[in-house]
Amino acid sequence: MDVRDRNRVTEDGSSSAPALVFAHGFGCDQRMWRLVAPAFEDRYRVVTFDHVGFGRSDLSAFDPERHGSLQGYADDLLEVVDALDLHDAVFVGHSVAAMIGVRAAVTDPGAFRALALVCPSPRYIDAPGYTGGFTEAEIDGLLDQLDANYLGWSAAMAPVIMGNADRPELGDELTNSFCRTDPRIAEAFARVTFLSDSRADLPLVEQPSLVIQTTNDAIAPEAVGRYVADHLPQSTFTRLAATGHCPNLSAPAETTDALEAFLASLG
Amino acid sequence: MTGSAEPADATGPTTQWAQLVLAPDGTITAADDAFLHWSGREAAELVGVAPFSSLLSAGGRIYHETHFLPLLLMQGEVRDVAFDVVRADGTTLAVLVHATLRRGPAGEPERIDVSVLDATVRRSYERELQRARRDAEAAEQQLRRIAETFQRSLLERAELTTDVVAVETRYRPAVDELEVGGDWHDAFPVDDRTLGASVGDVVGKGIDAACAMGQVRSAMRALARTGSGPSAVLHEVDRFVRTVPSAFASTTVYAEVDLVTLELRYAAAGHPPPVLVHADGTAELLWGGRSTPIGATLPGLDRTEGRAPLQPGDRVLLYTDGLCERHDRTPDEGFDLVAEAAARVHGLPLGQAADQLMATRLTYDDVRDDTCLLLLEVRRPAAG
Repeated sequence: MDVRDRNRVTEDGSSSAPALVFAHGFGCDQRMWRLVAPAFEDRYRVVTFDHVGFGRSDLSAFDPERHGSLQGYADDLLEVVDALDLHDAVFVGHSVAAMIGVRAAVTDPGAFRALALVCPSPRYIDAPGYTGGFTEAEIDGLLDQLDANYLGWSAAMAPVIMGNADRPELGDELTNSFCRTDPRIAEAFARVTFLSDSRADLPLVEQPSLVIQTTNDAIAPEAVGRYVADHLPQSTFTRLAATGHCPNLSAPAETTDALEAFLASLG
Repeated sequence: MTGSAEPADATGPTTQWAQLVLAPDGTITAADDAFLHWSGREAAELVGVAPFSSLLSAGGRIYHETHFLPLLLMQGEVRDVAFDVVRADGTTLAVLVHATLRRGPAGEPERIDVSVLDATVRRSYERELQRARRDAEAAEQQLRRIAETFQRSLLERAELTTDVVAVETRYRPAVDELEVGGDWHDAFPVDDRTLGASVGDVVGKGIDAACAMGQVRSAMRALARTGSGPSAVLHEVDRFVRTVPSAFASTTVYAEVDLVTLELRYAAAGHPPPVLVHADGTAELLWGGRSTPIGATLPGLDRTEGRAPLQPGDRVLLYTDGLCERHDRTPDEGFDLVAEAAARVHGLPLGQAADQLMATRLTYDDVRDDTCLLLLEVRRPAAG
């Protein structure tokens, strides 16, 4: 299977320019980057993609075993880098994709030149001496939450989707489609995301890295962002005035500026 | 209907909807009485102070950040999102939320209008549906297990190997089919010097077909032990299926190998022709001994049988049409492909050859039909 199809890889900008790889987090798809990524197209080869199971990726490529850990998603990412023959690319990952990028960088230290981590968390569940912000029971509550919403969505949307199987572009126009996923895949990804512990990976990252922290991030609070920056050997910590967990959508200009400054610092 | 208006239900809720206004960062800037009443909070606790997401369960907060807000920012509107609002006393209220993002003249987010629907009844109804779905899935799995166990018990692998002949059998259930199939294979000693082998296919699927299959297969084995030979065995099976209506129009091929003379005798009742692969790797379809499907006999038309001499190194393949059937080519083209495939794997050890044949996609990728094959090999020269 072609990796570009599998991960619905999208390329913009100059193919000879240095590459920026944007990865989306838990919830939606590569369109999370659509207000940020285009700002770099004049100087970079801009690559976005969907994790397997999300957006318009090839759902049949979802393998419960492979995609039962962040390593599987990191391996997918490394295969995308390989398939596009990217060298010295800078990785930009939002939310859980930040730790997917970290895992990829630890797995293959030559894959990326630098990492920009937007709203990262290496562990969402509290542990002795560590505050992730959630208890295990609360993460179970998230699974119920997903269930409650998918029931409503699937009932309303399944007939529409099924009726247009030969015209998949119609699916794009459906309400909520941007965050629509097979419920079983969404549940699996929620487990991988929120039950993972990437803390041990952080000190192993050799590349320069940027941590972008927002104000009042309910999912990755500031103490968590600080923890990430403190444990990455070569890190810069940037705090945005923007609030919430998705500055790439809610404050694209400020997010873009933070990335620009980091890229400039790399020389 | 009398036409008169129903009196208002004095005990019911005064309204199903509550309204909120949020700042672009999610802070509540206005809340109506209904929302204050539902959430059990004072306006001063909420307005200008609390983000809407802070009133949600932890799972809801994550969902709010990872789904609800991105959707709102991308689409300008979100409908029918289920949340649990945590009341002041710690209890929760199931709600459905609609939200609309209002933008200012320059397109900047100005405020978010939120409608909140009391979904207590609906949620409990949905939970019932979810439970029903899970129960159905569990029942389906259990049924699948029963079906598989049942089929396996009927199709114990018959690796019946004598000094002279080795046999490998394979069965593959249909893809994504809950029901058991009606294909079978069998190999057994007829007497001291004869090996019997059958492959067949009962029409239809499901427990009914599988039961019929089990009966025909057992009957054929018992009838074969009378030593009357392939065509006579099929003739007796014709009589037998009069008492097993589900087995009517089954197709089968029954073959016997004489372990002394190495002669193959076979009879095919409406079934794909066996393949004989000679020791030198050339393959031929055995078109002899053909007659109509089981039970579908016509007066005056006898069961016939074919014969072929076997040599050490020869192999004989019996199979069901699941191996090669496709709607976009004739059956004969499919049989030729089976013969070619059997010739291709002739160099492999018998078990591997059987595996390869089963893995060869001579049909569609998603094989709908179940498939059986039986591959036998002559190992030694005839005695004497």
